Amino acid sequence: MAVIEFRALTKKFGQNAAVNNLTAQVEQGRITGFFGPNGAGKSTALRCVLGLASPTSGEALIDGVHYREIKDPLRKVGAVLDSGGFNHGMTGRTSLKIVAATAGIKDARIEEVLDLVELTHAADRRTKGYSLGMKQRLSLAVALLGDPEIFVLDEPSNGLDPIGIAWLRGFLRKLADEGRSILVSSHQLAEMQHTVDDVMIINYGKLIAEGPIADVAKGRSLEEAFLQLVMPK
Amino acid sequence: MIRLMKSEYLKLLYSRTFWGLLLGTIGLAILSTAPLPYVYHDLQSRVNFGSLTNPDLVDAVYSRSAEGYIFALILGVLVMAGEFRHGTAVATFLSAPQRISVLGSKLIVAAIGGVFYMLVSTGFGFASSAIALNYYADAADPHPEVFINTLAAAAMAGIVLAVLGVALGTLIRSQMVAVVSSLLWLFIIERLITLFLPDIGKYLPTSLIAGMMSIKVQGTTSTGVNISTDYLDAIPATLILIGYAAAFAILAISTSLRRDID
Repeated sequence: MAVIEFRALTKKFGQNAAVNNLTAQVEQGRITGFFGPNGAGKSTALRCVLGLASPTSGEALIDGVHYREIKDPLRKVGAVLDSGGFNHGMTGRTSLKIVAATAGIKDARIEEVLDLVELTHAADRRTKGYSLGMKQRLSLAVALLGDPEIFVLDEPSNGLDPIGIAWLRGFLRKLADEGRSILVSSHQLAEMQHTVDDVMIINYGKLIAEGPIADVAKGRSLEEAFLQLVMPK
Repeated sequence: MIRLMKSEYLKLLYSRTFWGLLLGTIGLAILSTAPLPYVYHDLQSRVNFGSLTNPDLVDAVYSRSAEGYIFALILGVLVMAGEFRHGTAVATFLSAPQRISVLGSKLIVAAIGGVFYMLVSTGFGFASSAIALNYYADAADPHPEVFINTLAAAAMAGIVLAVLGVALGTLIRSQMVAVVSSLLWLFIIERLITLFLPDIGKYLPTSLIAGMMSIKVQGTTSTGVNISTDYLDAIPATLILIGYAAAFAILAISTSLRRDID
């Protein structure tokens, strides 16, 4: 069953189509890797799914509805889009408190998610002093606040050190094992090969490959398959 | 909506900028009132304003306590444009994708913050006025209604300018551009228009705020030049200011809120 659907999604900026007639879907309980070169349109497509950008044509749906129609979105979808979305003068705990307030989430859950992303020790420090990896963990904590069943993650491993990347791999797998669905974009193909179940690859805004990782890779590494698909010559 | 308002309230409560602006508002109220008795006393010899024995002039000192309204406008700008500056707009609109609700809660919380700024700073202004006037033994007592008039005008200015600020911050997402252009407009362009085209100037925000406080000053300089302020009365001035705020808010809703969130 599809939990996220792109239906002929097109997003143009002026004459330039950042996403061009994208049709694809993310299945329930699976980790779907969303790959493409820089500027391929991954982030734009994810922003359309999350209602932050309006499609020029087509649509992107979550459980059959537009994101803006979801009543309590934090409890349905957890999203990580970038690691800079915090007021640097506030602490990590305060940043979570502000987001939690919009969904009526209790303070106890804030402590739980801080613990889950292993950031409790730094929760009362201003985010100005956070490393990129700590900001990524805080972004993941925000995504986890509502205990959602669907995750949309845009390059969540950005800034994580090797230990953090290994932690993220186990973390995503644990979420998927609990029946949650994850759409994750990344440039770390070697790492993602061990994490994702399905892949979607886009180039110049167009879908060029989709399916279970074994079908797309066809015996090659994910990185080799990706390079051959986006640079065929 | 209540949850969103709580979230917006927390953003203000935990923001150092909010408290810094409050200090600025208080400072401006004190600076606008404390030197005035001396200025009026000094002007007495050169301008036919009458002395501080005139209760109208003493009222004018107290009414300047509500001078910090510019900070209510800046607060409103920061409530919305600050989200884009810090990159928190994404988190805000992800947790509340109904943009009209986000804007509505920001308008309400900014208005409450604007009233808070203005009432606190006006209180400090009253105190500094009283202390400064205390140095002049012949100073008249103010009319009792000046306090309630000034507080009411301060509260209304706080609401209207904070709402105007949120609308501006929605239209102009760059916090710096929105704040600087507001200051340029209020303190340079608008004052030039009021100086050279007073019939138009009296319908602009700063003159309307003065009108809300029912400030009327008339006098003649030693060179014979007439000085007078011809502001609208309090009720029409207030209604026009509310009209400005509503127009900007509607413009913000109908245009900027439809734009993509970066």
